Amino acid sequence: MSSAASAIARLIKSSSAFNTLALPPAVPVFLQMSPGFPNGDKRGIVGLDFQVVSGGKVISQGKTADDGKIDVRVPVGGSSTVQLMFNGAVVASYEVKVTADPLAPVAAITGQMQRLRLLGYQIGHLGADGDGVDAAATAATVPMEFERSVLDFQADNGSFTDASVDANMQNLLTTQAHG
Amino acid sequence: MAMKVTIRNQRQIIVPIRFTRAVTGSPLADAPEVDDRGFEPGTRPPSWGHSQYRGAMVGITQGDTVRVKVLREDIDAGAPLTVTSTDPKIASIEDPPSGALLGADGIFKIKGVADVRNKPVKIQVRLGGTGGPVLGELEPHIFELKSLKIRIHLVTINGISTARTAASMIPVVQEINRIWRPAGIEFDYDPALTLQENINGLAVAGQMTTNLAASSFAEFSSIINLHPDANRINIYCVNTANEVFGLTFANDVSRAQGGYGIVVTDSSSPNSNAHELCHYLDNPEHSTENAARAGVRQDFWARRRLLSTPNPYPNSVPAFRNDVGYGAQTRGPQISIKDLAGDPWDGEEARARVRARTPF
Repeated sequence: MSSAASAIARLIKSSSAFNTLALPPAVPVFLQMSPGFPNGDKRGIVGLDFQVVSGGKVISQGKTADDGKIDVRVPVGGSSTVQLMFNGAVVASYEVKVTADPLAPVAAITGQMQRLRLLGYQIGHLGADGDGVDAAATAATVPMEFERSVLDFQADNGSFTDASVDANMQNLLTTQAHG
Repeated sequence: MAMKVTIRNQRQIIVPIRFTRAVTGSPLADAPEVDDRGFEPGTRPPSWGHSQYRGAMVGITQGDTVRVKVLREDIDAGAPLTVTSTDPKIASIEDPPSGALLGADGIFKIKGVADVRNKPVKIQVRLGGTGGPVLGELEPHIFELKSLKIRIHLVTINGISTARTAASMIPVVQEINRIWRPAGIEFDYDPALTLQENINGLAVAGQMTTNLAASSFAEFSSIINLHPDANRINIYCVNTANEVFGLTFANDVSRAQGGYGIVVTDSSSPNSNAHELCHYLDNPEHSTENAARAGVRQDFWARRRLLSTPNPYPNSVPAFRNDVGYGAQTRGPQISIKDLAGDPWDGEEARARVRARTPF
């Protein structure tokens, strides 16, 4: 069970407004054993103890269910940190930002990287944001992790594995990434 | 240090780990290729039983202990991990000891305890202790060892002989056996049974001449009919060939015809010889080809496989394709254990093991 008590700000007594959340709505982050949104199977990592920290305060905490979902609230223009816990200690953490920018076109390598990353494929950690989405990458300079992710995606979708992101692959990426 | 995540389109999936071969460099019996091609399990022979694992697979000969590596792809490098088996009577974790954390190098050891039908097992990597949440899964498949006898024939063509000898073939077969170990198959070579063969009247002295494009391989047929041993895989060593490092019949050719063997040249590597044996064991197609048998694959997965061709392969871009873990332009030894729906020639280990029941 998550809670967001410390992120709720109550207006002064005389205000006519209702309670207001100080942070935007939560965005789901799914910790999974394999990429892609589930298709009738169970991929989520169950039983992860976590807490979400923003502005130096714990704004939610809990344990993942069988979908591995953690709802993360991130201040506009800022970041929150998802911390994974074991025996009460932080053992891993993720600095989470949210962008409202539209995805790059799927025909572009950057757009393919964004969608593969969104789906959980392990594309490495190059690029300005350190999440593997590298706007400078070209077909000749992509890292091994990108080709491996394309191959993983092809394999997971029953497609011929040749690392080619053809029109069919582009359609699959767009459909599964919802955009 | 925190991993960086930028959420796009209002959702994000994170997959913390994956599995890979423990080392790079020449094939080692205790450091097999891991079949990490995708996370879907693919099709599996009925006797392997049903499993809901989602991750990589690895083949282990019963009784062997092998090393496999966990890659902390999307989790902190220092995250404490432990490794457990869902059924230690089938596959057990030998290192790190039960309850101990995985080292920084991510390498652990699995023992293939028993090859039991319909008993799939999962190796699970957990966060924290042995009761921690499961971050990722590997399915090892344990194979009872099958030993296939081979006979080496040292061939002299029009007076020019192979440079190979019975003694020089011993380390070659040892290397072949390192490659085939994850499939639970070994080739049993008795040097004392090596035969000297003489054949005359071929087109070029010392050479097996073919024209494969025109389906002309009469010299190949002549060579493999030199004293074939009906109870062994016959391997004929020749000095050279005009088109190939090695040649094996397609698997739809009858093995009962008297000569069904393999020809290898002096310049062929042990990897090439292991490649021909993979053809021999009912895997006639190349992993670099599509269903129409066009050589369209240059990706690093295809080049990692024993049945990729050619070897050495040409350089291409991106540059990482030019060393897939075994040296520059050198193909890997992977015999695929997964049988992926999109791969027309997959599931090589299972196919080879079925043929290994009646190999001659």
